[in-house]
Amino acid sequence: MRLLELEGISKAYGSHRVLDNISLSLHSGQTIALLGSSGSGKSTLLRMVNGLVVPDTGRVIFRGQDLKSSDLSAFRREIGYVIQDGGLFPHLTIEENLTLLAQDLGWGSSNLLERVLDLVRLTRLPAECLNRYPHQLSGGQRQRASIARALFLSPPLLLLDEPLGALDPPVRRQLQDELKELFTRLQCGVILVTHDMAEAAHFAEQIYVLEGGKLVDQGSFPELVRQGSLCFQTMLSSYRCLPC
Amino acid sequence: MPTLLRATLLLLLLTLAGCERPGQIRVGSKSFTESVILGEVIQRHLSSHSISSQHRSQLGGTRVLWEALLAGSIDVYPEYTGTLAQEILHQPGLEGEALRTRLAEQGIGMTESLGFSNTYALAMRADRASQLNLSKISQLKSHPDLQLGFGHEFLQRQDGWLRVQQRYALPQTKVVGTDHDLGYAALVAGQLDVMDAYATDAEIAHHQLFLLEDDLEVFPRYDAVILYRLQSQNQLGIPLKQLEGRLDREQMTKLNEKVRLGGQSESEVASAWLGASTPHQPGLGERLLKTTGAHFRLVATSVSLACLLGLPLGMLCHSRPFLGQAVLPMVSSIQTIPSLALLVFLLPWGGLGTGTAMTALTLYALLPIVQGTYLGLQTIPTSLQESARALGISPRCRWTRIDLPLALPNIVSGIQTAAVIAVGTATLAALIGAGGYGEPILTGVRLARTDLLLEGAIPSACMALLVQWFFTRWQSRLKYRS
Repeated sequence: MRLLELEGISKAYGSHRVLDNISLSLHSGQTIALLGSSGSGKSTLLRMVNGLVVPDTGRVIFRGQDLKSSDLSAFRREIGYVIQDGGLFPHLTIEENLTLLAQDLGWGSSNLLERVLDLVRLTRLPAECLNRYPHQLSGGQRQRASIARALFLSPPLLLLDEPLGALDPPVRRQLQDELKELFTRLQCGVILVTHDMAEAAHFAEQIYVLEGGKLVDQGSFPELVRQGSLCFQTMLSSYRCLPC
Repeated sequence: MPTLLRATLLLLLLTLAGCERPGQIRVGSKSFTESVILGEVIQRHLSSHSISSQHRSQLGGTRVLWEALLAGSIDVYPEYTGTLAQEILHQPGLEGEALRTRLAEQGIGMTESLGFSNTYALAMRADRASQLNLSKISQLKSHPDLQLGFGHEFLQRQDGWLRVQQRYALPQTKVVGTDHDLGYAALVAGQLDVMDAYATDAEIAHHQLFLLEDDLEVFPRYDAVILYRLQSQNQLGIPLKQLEGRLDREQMTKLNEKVRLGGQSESEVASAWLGASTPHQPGLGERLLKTTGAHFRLVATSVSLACLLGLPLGMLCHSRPFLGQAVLPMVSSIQTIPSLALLVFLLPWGGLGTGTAMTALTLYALLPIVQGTYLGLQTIPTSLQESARALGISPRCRWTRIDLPLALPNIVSGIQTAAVIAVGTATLAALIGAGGYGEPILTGVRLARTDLLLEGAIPSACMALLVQWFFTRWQSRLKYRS
């Protein structure tokens, strides 16, 4: 059974159409990337998957169940969500950020501690960070903590919205490698939103290219390089021209 | 939150502990010296008959005292027959048995005269009167440029300035309202030419003022009497009867003089006249402790209650914007009502004392707290709001662990504003017998005594600064964490 299916998703704000008849699917253990320039609708599409944005038409089906007929809170607990600046709560320590949801669900303290230590190892987050507040951490540590929070309940699906966008290139490259290894180990479904073609190529088996709210291309990176649309080819050539 | 709840409950308990004992007779008096002296006389006289009683002094004007008596917030207070007929019953000329019968219809009893009539008079400096060759009120007609100054109540009353101006056809337009007791200072300093006076005022003789003859007999008799609730007649009837006819005009003027000009307290003067032992006079420290306790209770309880009301209202405005559009203007409109007017407006429901004062102060404290909560919640960054929603936590967890803590700096700022305003506004609570720093301020204004004014004003300013300091520290800690 497919983990996630989006069927004919459309969304407009007034007369401005931000998504136009998008369909895609995802299996467990598969990583896909939504690639596009700023304003292409990729983040809106991602936020529809966990119900932060409601589509005007179309369906979001997670594990065979339509999102509309689901308990939204229970549904969201099965989906980890990481955004560009981490989205950590500034008034809570890292440990409090990590355990917030599990505490709300009534987990005992020994279970909490055990899971925190698991995640610290898994995400290579230094243990001394646990008692610190987010502003006392480096950008890379904050993203590790944010990913650890998203993984706390071992969700089958992980949504990443430009998770490494704010990091310095060396830290970013290191985290890209670590995360790819992590996703392979966990065998969860991952949707990655990025405007960085190399990042999309690094992570994803399937890349969905969005432009002006429309899905203009899909396929693996080599397939797209060989026979991608004009839009993808333009992106590719401008990427090659970048000074780095 | 549990800490806030515990603190609120503790404050409510402290407030209840500070309330009066049940079964006590409550004696009221108006906010001028003679009324306060008579209130002390009544209270000490009742005490000498082993009747437990307390004096709620300087509660404001006629309307406040009368409503309080009808509502049962007080049981007895001194009044004047002219005021009863003109201002309360609106039947000029009503006297004696007819007056007593009309009062009885409303459940109020009245003693015979205490022995003096304290009619209104118009006073001038003697040298100014002789310079203008004035001896009668009717002669004022030929001096339209005179500067007149009257007590606020005299200006409003049907038997006051309105009637004098109409009956004597006086042309003066330069008329200002002033506190009655402060008026004497202005008259002596030459800032006023004519003012209203009570016939027993000590200042008349002291400053050698000249009283203009009421040649058209416009002012009715103002025999001093005691009003009481007929429900308490069995208990109060005989003791109060013993005070009838015992105090003539000269004696009353002397008692006023001792307080107004001799610096004695009303209770000392009343005890000496009754031949009772001088009561314990609390020292400055004891008085400060008492007023600080009462003031703090008023401020802390009303601000805590405003938090309990304001936080949910602010949360409602945030989560239900269409309700917010109705709630915010409604709460704002409370702020536009003058504080004194709000106190008097609430009197018929709440009666005299701390309950009404706290209700008014709570209503005043609402706006900054509701606005602070609303603003705090509205300004949580969208990314954090989405992170909280995306986690799938319960609404309760989201409010208590995310939204309210993130909004806390703004909420604390709102509470700080509310508390500082409450410290200042609470000084008015003394006008309805709720105590606090307003008590010495009111007495200081009445007796023109700077030391008493400062006894209320300085601690009030210190309390406001302390409140400011406490909340600023709290806020700086929150800002560091976020």
